[in-house]
Amino acid sequence: MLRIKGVIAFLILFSFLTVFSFFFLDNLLCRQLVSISESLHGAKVDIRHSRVSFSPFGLRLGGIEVADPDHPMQNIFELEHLTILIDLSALLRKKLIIETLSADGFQRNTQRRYSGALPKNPSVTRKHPKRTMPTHTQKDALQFFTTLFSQAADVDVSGLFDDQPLSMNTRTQSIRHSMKQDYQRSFTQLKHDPDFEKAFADIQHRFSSFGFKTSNLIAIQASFDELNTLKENTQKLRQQLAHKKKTLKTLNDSYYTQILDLDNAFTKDLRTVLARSPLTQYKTASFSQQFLKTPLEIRLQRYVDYYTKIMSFIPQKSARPSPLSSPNVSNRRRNRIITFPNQHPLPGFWLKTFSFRQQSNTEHIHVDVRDLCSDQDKIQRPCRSRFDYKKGSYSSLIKATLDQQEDDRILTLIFSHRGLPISGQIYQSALLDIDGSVRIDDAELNGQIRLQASHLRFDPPLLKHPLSTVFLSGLKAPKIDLTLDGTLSSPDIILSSDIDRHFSAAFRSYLSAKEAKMRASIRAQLQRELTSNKTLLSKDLQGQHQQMSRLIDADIARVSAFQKRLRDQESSLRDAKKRLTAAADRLKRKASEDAQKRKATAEEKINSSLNNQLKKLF
Amino acid sequence: MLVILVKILKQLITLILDHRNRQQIAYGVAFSAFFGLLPFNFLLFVLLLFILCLFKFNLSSIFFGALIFKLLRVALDPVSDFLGYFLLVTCTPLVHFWTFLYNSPVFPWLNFNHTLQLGSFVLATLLFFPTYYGFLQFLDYFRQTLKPRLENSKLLTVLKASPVFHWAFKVKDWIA
Repeated sequence: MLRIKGVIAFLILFSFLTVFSFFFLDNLLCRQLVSISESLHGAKVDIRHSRVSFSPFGLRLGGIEVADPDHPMQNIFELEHLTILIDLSALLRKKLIIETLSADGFQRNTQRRYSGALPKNPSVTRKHPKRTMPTHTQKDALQFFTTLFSQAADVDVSGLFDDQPLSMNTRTQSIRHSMKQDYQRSFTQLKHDPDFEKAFADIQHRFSSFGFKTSNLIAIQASFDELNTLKENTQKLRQQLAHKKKTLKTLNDSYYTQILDLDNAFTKDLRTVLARSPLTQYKTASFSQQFLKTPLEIRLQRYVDYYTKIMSFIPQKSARPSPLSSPNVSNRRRNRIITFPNQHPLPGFWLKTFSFRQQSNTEHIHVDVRDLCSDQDKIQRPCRSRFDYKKGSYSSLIKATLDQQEDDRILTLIFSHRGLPISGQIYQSALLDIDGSVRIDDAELNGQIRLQASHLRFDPPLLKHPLSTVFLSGLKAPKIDLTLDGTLSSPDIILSSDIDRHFSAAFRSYLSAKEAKMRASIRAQLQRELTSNKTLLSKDLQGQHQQMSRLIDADIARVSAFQKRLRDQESSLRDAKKRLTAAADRLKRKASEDAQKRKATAEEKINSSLNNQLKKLF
Repeated sequence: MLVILVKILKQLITLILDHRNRQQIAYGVAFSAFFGLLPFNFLLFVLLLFILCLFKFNLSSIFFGALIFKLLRVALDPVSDFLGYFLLVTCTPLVHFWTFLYNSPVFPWLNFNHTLQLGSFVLATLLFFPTYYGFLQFLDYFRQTLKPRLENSKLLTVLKASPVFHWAFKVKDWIA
């Protein structure tokens, strides 16, 4: 039964596959990554080359370009190299342990040589032909604006500001002149196209705003920065809105299910009660008075309380899908993945080191994340993330380091003012006690250092940690005095601050707002349930009332019919009596007449007999 | 592709009609349940391929058996899911075993904690010997009873006598 030749064939096949994958794995993986990321992202993702190494096991990608789906001729970002080193032994246990993830050569909003839009479905295109201007005109316009933006962004203001103000002014004037000329030329080319009217209006608005601020190039750059910041803020707000909408939808669904259950159960109970009750009681006159005077609110409240208790004790009942979502039931029930306790010391996902650096004339970004893990307790280390952002020589430098652990959080904030970077490290425990140290970089200062910040402003995209968002969203322009006392000779300087009080107050206000919101939502839900049930019951009552009224009307109709019959009979009897009385009178009269006649006859007979007898006698 | 399919079908018909290799055919059909019922998992597929190469199973029967089990999978999936759920969750004495496997190397890649995967695997294992013996019985019945009846049937006689049939055989000989 055993087939040795088969085993040899299998081994040959397997080795062939191994060799094939060894030589062509890079391309296969690259294509796979590109197709997956394109399907997820919705725009072109280019990876120029990829290389898989087996010792150490990892992947190195080069020339990554991620196109912007909204602006196909622009990349969202570009990475020169991305290196991922993975622990192979952990991967055998289905655990993704990334030893190092490093990226360099990061560039934002770079121009693409060709469109980054994915090919559309031809049928859809045929159905909805999009009215566009000629491709070459579009490309020209895009090229023009790209050059314009890069021209303005590449100007190194810092070198010109103090040393050569005249040259700067001349350059400003020339750039303004060229910008105006280009703008007018481009506008005359494109203004006839209706598709670009909106875009031009926007651009015109931007340039008009520049017109007020183009006194020097710093203002131009600041305007661009403002625009970019506004764009980023809008995107962030949109994301937050989408997230909130999603959460609301989920909550709404669960409430809807609960209310539906409650309604069904209540209706069922009410109908059972009504069905069990003898119908004769509705015919009584006291029914409506008794039933309608029952305190409905109390009864409904009792029902609501009862079912709320049941819902709270039986969570799976509340999670029961509504009849509207019944088609998904089978899908949900099938193909379940059961998780078992993970006894291995390693977590399921662990990013040991992630470093990313970008440096240009205008910007400097450095992100460093260490020990980002799916289960922080397993590695017994906090997650440390550090974000450095520097913009221009005169912009403020903000550095934020966040160490996340269960009980202890360390937040490092580094500010700078006119090229003097001052870093403050705050150790923030669970009780929000603050203690820390201050370091002075590249500064020659002696004596006491005092920093007073009347207005502490955080840039939201810089601190993306949810906890910091919670706290910082509550801090609306507080007055925070950070007093740093010490000298450079002593390495550790005490930081005293009342930031913990602000944090606590912000957290308390956040919690109270959340609690009030939850209370309001619960109250509204109960009110809705009460109203709906009341409506339901009043509807039922109205129905019963109508039925009862119909029955009473039928009875009244029957009685009135009987009375009518009685009245008819009475009148007929009266008629009969009249007839009989008349007949009796007639008979009486006839009898009296007969009696008189007979009397007269008898009298005549008697008289005649008497006469006869008298005659006989006499 | 069509030529390969026709060749495999021809081989299967030849094997069924032939008096040899009935066990190989039956084993092939029984083993095809693993290919037909289980959801695709690369590691498991390689293991099954190795077993396939190791033993003398009939490849044509595996191919057609897998096709039939794939069709049956629509009806058998709920059963597999239930079986998997029973083994993974309801049957508490086995939880330690699953936990051990879950924490061992390589095994997590087999997706055994997937109810459908485990259920299908167990179902295919349970169906192995019944399918094997059932198909053996069917082969015996086919060769002893059904084959002579088919050979003596009017339809086959008419077909054999028809010129198309002769022409097809001539073409076949010519190709051979």
